[in-house]
Amino acid sequence: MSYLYLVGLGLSKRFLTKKAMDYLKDSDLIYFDTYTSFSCDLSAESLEELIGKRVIPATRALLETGFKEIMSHLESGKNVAIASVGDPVIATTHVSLAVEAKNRGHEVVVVPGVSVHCYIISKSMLSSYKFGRSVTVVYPYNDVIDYAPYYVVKENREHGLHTIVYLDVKDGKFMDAREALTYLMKMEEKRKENVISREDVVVVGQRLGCDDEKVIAKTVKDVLEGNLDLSPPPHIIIIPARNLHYMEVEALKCLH
Amino acid sequence: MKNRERVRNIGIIAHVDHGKTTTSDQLLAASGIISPKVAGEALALDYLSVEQQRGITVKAANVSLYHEFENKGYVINLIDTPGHVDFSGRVTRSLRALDGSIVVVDAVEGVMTQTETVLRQSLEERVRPILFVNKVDRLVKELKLGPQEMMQKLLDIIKEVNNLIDMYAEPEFKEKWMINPTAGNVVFGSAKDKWGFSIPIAQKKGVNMKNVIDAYSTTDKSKIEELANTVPIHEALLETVIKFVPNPIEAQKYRIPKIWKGDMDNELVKSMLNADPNGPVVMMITDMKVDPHAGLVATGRVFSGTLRPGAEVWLVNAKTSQKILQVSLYMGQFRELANEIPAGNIAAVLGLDKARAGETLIDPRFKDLQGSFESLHYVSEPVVTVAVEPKNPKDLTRMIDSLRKLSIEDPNLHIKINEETGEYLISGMGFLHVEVSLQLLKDYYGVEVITSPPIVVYRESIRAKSQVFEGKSPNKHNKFYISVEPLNNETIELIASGTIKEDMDAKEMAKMLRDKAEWDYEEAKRIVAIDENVNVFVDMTSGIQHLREIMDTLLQGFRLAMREGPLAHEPVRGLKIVLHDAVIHEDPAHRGPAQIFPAVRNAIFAGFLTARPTLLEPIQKLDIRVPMDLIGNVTAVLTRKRGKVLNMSQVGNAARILAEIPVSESYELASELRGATGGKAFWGTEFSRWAPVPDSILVDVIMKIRERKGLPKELPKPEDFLS
Repeated sequence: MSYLYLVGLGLSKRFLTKKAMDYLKDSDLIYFDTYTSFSCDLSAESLEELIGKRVIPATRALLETGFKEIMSHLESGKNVAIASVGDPVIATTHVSLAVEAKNRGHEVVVVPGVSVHCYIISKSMLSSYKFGRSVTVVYPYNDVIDYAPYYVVKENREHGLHTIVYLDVKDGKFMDAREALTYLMKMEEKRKENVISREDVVVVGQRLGCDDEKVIAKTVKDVLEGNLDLSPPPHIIIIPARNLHYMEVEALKCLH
Repeated sequence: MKNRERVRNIGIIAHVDHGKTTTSDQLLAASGIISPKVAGEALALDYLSVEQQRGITVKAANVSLYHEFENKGYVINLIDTPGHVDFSGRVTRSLRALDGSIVVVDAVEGVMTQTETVLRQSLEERVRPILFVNKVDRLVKELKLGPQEMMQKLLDIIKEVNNLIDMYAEPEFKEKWMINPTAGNVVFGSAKDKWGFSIPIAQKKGVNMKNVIDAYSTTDKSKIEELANTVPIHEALLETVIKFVPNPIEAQKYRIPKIWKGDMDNELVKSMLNADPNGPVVMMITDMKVDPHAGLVATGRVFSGTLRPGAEVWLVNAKTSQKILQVSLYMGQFRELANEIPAGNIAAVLGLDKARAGETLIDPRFKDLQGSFESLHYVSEPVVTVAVEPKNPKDLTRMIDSLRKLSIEDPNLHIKINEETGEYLISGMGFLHVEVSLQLLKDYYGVEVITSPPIVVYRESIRAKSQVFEGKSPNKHNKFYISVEPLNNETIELIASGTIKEDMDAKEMAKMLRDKAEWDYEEAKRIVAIDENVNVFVDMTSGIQHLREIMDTLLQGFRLAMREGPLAHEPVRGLKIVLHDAVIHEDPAHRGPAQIFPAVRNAIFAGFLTARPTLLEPIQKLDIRVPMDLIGNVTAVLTRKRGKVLNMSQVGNAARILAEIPVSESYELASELRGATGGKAFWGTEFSRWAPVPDSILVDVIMKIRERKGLPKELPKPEDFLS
């Protein structure tokens, strides 16, 4: 029986917890998940420096289809760590690895890290009790737009809930807030179900966890018209509920 | 041209080397279009050198000739039909534009396989034949026959042709179309030496067979020239054509019901039956060519109405309308602009870049009408492929451009890029087809290429029904439950013929499948996709969350999987794929193409590999004519090549063998058949069907393909697609 550690590194070096370090040091093999997220200063190399051990960059193919390789290491008595930027389970898909390892009789330890999900909730100062399902705006495939984000926002807003909107990564390119809101407005134009308008205030997080991070609350119009100075991606968006608590209204004003 | 009683549309058909091209040139020369001196040697009609080297004509050229007869001027539209049987699609297409054909037969060799094939084809299209017995000089020079023996020999040929007419013509035409020397619908002569006559002409001009024998029995060439001056071949042929081939108004009355496929009871058809120049426009495109200056030139016959520049026409197969920019007539290989071309004529049209050979143009007011001369699915499936690269790397752009043009001119030629290797792949209907196309590339476009050895294309299929398999996405968050089974032959036929199409009304499709192919109506109604290799996707689920959002991606995944099957990455054919259930992640980021494609593919391939998978190989039909005593030699070659004799009959003193042989075995077939029969066998080939590779060699064939493609040298197992 071996250990599989799913280790959250937080958003950058300064978020790395003592606990995460300890588990990494205790591992025989360390994979660094290179595809689910982005960090300004965390990489396989920087991690190697920090813990003084070899770190293997793991592509999507290895973590998804090549999981047999990871299982065979566990079977041969090695403790394996999979290190992810942010949190290892929130908005990523390593659950299937945990389940598979557990079914084969190994121990699984999840070490939470500060995820962009918690981070933006905190930074936005919106009430954490009022977040609905989150959703990703993805690039159209073969010119076909996936309307899921539109309907998730719609449903959340109908229940007075905020929506965290993740943005797609395609071939190494991060979608930015302007693109994402353009897609959402396109969906509104097509479906006309009164889900989002140019006058709505949205929260845009930019390069969260980095030294040059920014969190702002502006109207969709402001973001789209480009007279705002946005930092380069990655970005994340919150589309707040329509019926805000008066304290939330005040809080968002602080982000103007 | 407006006096359409004085228009004739004809073609010349013949066995290889019986003198089709020389005959055409004599007609051209006499019409003052090309210099008589040049004709005969210049082979104007075969203006690509490939045609001369191989002695076969692969591109239909068109020409309008002018001839005066009994003080009246006539326009004779001459369409050069291709002679090689590998391209029989083109022959049939050209024939639809003709009302009459000059059947050229070599006086020594007589009626040969291909004479029969093309004569049969033209009779089937209700094209009236007249006979030209060519190379009569050989009877004197080589066989040294006297007048009596000569006459007997000629009568034998006529009798053989009449036997064919009797066999293949429809009852109402049989008697009228029989070749009768006294009536004068047969010409005897030598195209090369420019003389020829029918019996009535000979009587009028006071010439007989004795003169012919004399002309060739002396070394004095002037006797032959004298003959050519007294009875010039073009006069004999054109007079015979004018007298015996019906004008378009007469011909369309009985030809339209035969060649028009679709609704008959409407204004369009009525107008065609009368060749009405004031009716709605209907034209059949027989040929598309890329002209270096003018762009795409569409050539074909106007069956109704009058073509004018600026008019809109509806393209039945392309389902779009386009504007005619220019109309013109042919003169040799050149075109002469015209203001209008009325029904009954052959025209060249600019502006129709969406059209392909076989297209039907109609007046846009009739676009909802069902009908055309040839449906889109006439085009046969390519079965042989070569990879090409330019000899000079600088020619890459030119090669790509030229390949595109070739594929426009020849819809049976397919051009594809192998995404992984960047190779350009040319696929055609047989080894010879590809070979001739490459030669064209060199001669016509000046691009020399290096080619891989030709590769036979296979299909992958199954012979049993699978259980339901679970296909998971790489992130394990999406699952599809899918079973596969072979489509029955009726369904495959309906789809391959284009009767069942993906974009047709679901209820109409379901009804047809229920009535004609034993489908359950409810299941047939749930067909959501049909791909280009005859595979059907059926969605039997209901109420699955998020399925609607990913349906396009799912079907794209299905189409991709069908392009490269699990056995040898050859296209999959004839599968019914049924989706029974699915689980789909709620967030779009976790159900993109990278997740959905493998999930659907995994489920299909796991099922595929458990359902008695096999390869299908292309089989071609052979129609062989050989002297009786050599039958055994032919069947020996066939047997060695996994061939099968389907039927054997006696025609004249030769045997006709109908056989089938796998295309993969046909590479050396030509030389082996020639070798085994001392060159006395003649044959034609065409694609027949896809058939399972015998189990005894199946694994071997699969492994060879895998090796060529650099795939792992072991057969995939269902487990490889399950996790």
